Amino acid sequence: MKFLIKKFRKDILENIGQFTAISLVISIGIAFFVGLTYSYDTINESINDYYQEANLADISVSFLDVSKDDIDTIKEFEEVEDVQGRFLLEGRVSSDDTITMQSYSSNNSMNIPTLIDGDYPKTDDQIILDSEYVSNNNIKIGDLITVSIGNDQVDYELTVSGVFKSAEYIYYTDDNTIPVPNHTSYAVGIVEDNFFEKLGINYTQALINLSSNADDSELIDKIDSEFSTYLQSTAKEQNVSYQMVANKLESVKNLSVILPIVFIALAAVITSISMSRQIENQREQISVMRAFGISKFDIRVSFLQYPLFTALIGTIVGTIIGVVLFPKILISTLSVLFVFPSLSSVTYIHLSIIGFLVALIAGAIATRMSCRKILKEIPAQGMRPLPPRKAKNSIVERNQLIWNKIPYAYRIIFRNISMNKKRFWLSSIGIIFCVSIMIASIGIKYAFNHIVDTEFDLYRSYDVTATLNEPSFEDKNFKNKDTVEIADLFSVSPVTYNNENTVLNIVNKDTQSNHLYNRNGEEITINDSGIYVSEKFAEENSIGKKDTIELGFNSPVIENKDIEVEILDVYKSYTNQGFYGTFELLDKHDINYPVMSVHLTTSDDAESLKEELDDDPQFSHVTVKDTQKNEYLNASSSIDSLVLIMIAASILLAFTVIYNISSINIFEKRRDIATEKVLGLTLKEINRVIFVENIFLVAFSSIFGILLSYPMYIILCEFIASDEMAFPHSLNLMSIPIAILLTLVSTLITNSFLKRKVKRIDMVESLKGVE
Amino acid sequence: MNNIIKFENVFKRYVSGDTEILALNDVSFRIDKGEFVIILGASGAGKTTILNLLGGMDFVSEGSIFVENEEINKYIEKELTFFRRNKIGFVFQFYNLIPNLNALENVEFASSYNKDKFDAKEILSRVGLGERLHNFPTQLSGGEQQRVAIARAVAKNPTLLLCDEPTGALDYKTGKEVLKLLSQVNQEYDKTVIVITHNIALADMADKVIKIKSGEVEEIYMNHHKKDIDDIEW
Repeated sequence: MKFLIKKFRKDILENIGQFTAISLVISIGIAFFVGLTYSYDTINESINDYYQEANLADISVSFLDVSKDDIDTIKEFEEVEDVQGRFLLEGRVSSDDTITMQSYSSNNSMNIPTLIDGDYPKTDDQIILDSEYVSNNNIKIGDLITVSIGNDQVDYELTVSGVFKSAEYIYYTDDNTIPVPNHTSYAVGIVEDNFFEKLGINYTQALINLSSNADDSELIDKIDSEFSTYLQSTAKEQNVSYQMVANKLESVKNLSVILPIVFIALAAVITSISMSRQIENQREQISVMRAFGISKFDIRVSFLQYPLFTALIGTIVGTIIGVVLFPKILISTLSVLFVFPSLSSVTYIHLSIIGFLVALIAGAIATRMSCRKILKEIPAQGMRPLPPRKAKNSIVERNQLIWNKIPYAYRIIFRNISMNKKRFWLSSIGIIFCVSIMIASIGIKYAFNHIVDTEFDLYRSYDVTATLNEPSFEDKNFKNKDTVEIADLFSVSPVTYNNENTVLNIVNKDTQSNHLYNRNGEEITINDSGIYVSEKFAEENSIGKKDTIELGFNSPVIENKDIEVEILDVYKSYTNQGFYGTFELLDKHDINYPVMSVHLTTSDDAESLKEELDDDPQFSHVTVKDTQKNEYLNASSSIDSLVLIMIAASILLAFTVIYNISSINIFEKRRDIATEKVLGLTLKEINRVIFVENIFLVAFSSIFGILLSYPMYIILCEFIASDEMAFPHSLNLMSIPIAILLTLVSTLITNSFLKRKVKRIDMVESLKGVE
Repeated sequence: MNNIIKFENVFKRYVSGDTEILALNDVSFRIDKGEFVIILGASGAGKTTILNLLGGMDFVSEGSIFVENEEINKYIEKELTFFRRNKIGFVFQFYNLIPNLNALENVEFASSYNKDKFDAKEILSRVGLGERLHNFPTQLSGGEQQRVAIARAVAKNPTLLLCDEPTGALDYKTGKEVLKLLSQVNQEYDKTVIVITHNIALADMADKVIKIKSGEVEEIYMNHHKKDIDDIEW
């Protein structure tokens, strides 16, 4: 047994390239599995802890106004375990930025902010600010800031006493139209209850924890009937931050399932091809060993060292890559959107062990199957060389015209393929997968750019969005600036359809700023006899053109109301799922929906219009569309890095497949290659044949890879896209040549590695007898 | 003089581990154009080393080798490759045909890299395989395969034919046929033929015999009355 172990180590060392290649393939599979799952676990557990520590309220209920006595009344409801009143107010800070001011007192037990520096406010002239605003604006503890609140914009000077993060505010933005929160001009500040009490304002929010088994809708009904100031209630799970985080985590989790499956399956295929060839090449040695009296069991065990060591090395390397690389990339890209708590470390050893076992079992099965045939032979027969395989005419030969034009050296390739059809197919499977993953990944990158371009250039033709300080119910003229050519009104209302929360985008009937396109790519003329539904929402809810549906309004700015409307058309949108309707349509249903923002088109430069509007007190903030677009592109960096990882992994896999298969081929043909050398073929000529053979394999596999890339793309889009996103169903054709080019480059690089193998073959091999 | 090959004081040492093996010890001989030469020696005598050096597959440790007045031991690897391509026709003990090419293709493949070549079909008919052009090596007997190999070597129209134990893997009768073919090639195509063998009996059919023993030349002699292969028995 000791001898067998020693012999096997030597075999591995002799073929260290192949051994490394297989370990590498396994490590890629493991890296995806461990890395993605570990990243998911880390973020998920940290955030769950964060929620727990903060004790996020089950429901938050908004009121126009709710007194301390009212809070006490709510406390008496049987469904309520705990209730806490809270002040909440929008204002301005540092003259220009928006701030959400809320209260916190030391006896609060829900939605507790996490102090990361300084102290909680102790007096009514102290404030703590969110960590992002503080760091983006270079604010220090002890700095004085000016907050202006209310219609009269009264200024208050407050001292910054601390910095916080909050589980309530993992994702927070004052502008729903841009996906990337702007933490430079929007702050969340927390002050003592006293601050608001001195202003003479009441609570506007009640945070409620339900008692066990309590029914939240019953409670809401009670509150609604009891208090006329009731506006709306939001369950913890409906909270924007909570939903955004849950959505993103869901897609990370999905990826952590699909990608490792793809890559581990690929690794298993490659390993089994290499293993079986390796063992078949040792057939005679195995028989000699058996003739010596070494048991089948011992031989089998000695061969199992191969999957054992490749799985072990692959697991160690893969775990390191996965644990170091993936969380870093994922967390840093997700941090564009989210403010994460400090991340706790979770264990990943169990993941490594699972990965190791999967790799080991797959490798062991491949080994066992390859050994079986050889161990079945009686030793005496196994020691005799296998009869040479019959050469076969290749299919290409049926066309003599073409065949005669093929140089002799290349005819060998076609005959080889027709002799080893099984191996050719197995090796193409690897490359087919690599090519299709590459095309799909590049396709996703293209799709994302396409989404941003169409959304911002085609669907939105305005230059600047100006958000009103507060929703306006009156008609105002926003074209009062000289340079403004078009001013269209815009609002977004939360609506429900069939218990599904979504939004209704509200525009003027004759809007020139927002454009809708139907499935055929034709522009829709927006009219006020009905609403329009996005393609994705329509498909998910099985509704469509000419359906009449009931929409429920539960917006804080108007009274709750249900209306019946007809769907006039289905529009395509990649980022904006829900409905479009007009102010005029709502008027017909007796809803006077307030204007929230204005879309402006200028004859001048957008930036200078922004500067002008920034000084206008009726606007809370003004955003240039191109800035939005750039921020959207920034948000895509998470897609970029994922695409890059997938492309890199596919290239590495393509490399290992070609390297492994070619190494086996070269090893089996070493006698022929030695003969060719003696016959006076140059290394260049010999290498060229091997190169052409690989190119042929790659070209052949690429055809199938291209066919498979479309379903692969759709699957990946499905997994990557969040709820509000829809990816275009068409794959950008440019991804195909790029992927093929990358594969060809990796073939070229592989060949430069193979050259050494060819060079090392000694011409003396040709003088030996057939083994 | 018509010396096509000059071996002058050639030494070849192999280092394996700490020990140095002297494979060729001051070997010198000359071969004339058109000669049929047998290099004779027991296994381990140094025959294969001479073959490797003559065939441009290895480098000398000391001494010079001239082929057509070119000192090939000074060649760099690439020049040696072209030397093998243009000057040497190699016949192996185990034929070494490319298994995926048929007889005709094997011959054409090798000579396709040469400018001044013979027609492959014609040569194959000359070696008696005109009917089996499209058979793969596995469909041919050992003797037939060796005849394809000889055709392959001749078609290149090389300066010399190097044959390494060409009958080693063949039975007596087939071996004789192959040797007969080699001597025909020697006469009809006026090719210098060097056969390396351990079979002393073959010495009688050669113009010149070079006997090698323990890495040294034991004896060189000319056969003034060389025998026809049919008259040689072993």
